Amino acid sequence: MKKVLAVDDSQAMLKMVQQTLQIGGYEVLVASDGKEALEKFRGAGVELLITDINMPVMDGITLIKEIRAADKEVPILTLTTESEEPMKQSGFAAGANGWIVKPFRPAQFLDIVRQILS
Amino acid sequence: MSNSPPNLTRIKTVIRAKTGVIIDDKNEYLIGSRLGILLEENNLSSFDELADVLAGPQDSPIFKKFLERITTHETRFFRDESTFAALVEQMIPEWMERNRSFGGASRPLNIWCAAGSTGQEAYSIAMLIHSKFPQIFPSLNLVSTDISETCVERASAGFFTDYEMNRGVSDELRAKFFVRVSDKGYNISSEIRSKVEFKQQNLLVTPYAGKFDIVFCRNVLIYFDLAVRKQILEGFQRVILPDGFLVLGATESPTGLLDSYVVRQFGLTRYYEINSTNITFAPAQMR
Repeated sequence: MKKVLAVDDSQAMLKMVQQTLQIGGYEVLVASDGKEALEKFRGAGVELLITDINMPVMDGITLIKEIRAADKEVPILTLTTESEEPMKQSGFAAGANGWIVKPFRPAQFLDIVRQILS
Repeated sequence: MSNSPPNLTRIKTVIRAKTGVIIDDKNEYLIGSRLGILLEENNLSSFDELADVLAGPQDSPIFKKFLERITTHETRFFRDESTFAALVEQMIPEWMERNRSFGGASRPLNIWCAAGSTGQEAYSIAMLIHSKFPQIFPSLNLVSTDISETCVERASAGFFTDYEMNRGVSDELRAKFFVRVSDKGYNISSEIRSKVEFKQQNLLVTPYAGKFDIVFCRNVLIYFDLAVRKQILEGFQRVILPDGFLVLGATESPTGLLDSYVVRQFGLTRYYEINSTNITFAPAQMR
């Protein structure tokens, strides 16, 4: 079972993402901020990271940079309310592969995940 | 009289302007094979003369016949079966799920077969939904349009020859939805026939009307250049509901033309959805 790490400081959002991914047959690890995500990512064999941007302790952009320093390959998607182009570009510059603006459509989201992981 | 090949530049320009269809050099023979008869019937001596006539009124008999002859009408029941599997296994169940989540009131399922030719596509969809989702069949609305008036008339008549029936209709569906009316063929049942509204429409000219959950437009874009493909896809975008789907031919895709559609998959079948997830891929990831 492929492992996905989902990061969001909103527990409701995290639960929704987790449920969607579980329906799709993925094992889901969750974290509530960038720092916790970084700890859970290490050595866990995560095949996809899905992260919020605005979070306490460590934000999403910093998390993406930290992950990219250690792992050039793992696909990274953001799932955020941030829709401004400069923020999106800084996400891509940090190493995100795709930028999703909330709210998300579960079925479409799952298909995007499937395509990335296939 | 000269034996040099006729100059086809002007007729090609008219074909493109009026139908969007591009005749490239290797397909030039189509002009002779499909439009040659128009010269004979109308006592015209060259394709240049025909081009002049076609530049005139579009409701003339010769113009209508030109449309019939130059466009391709290949179709059959359940063409590309995997597409229909995607429809019943994934698109409609998702539509039902979303429909339920928006208050539960049953909303009609609106489907448009753009360039639906002689009706086989729309009738296939109607038969399939009747069989697999009888509960939503009463609220199904199907529209099938085609540039060719003759195709629209044939589709409306709902009569299919044995040859057409043998291309895709199973014995089970034949028994359930068709009645033999002569030794030549069958009529589709009135229950299925009455589900589909057939209309003449030129995708390049007629404004797109209505709101649809699913638009089928298969094996049409391939005949057009990129600018026209984009124009058609933008038109669909305006009439497809936010949760709706676009079904193209197996070799067609909006990728690279419009990023407002995202790819969905069912097995090896791909179809498209308005990018309501609002995903942007990093430049290196653009597909």
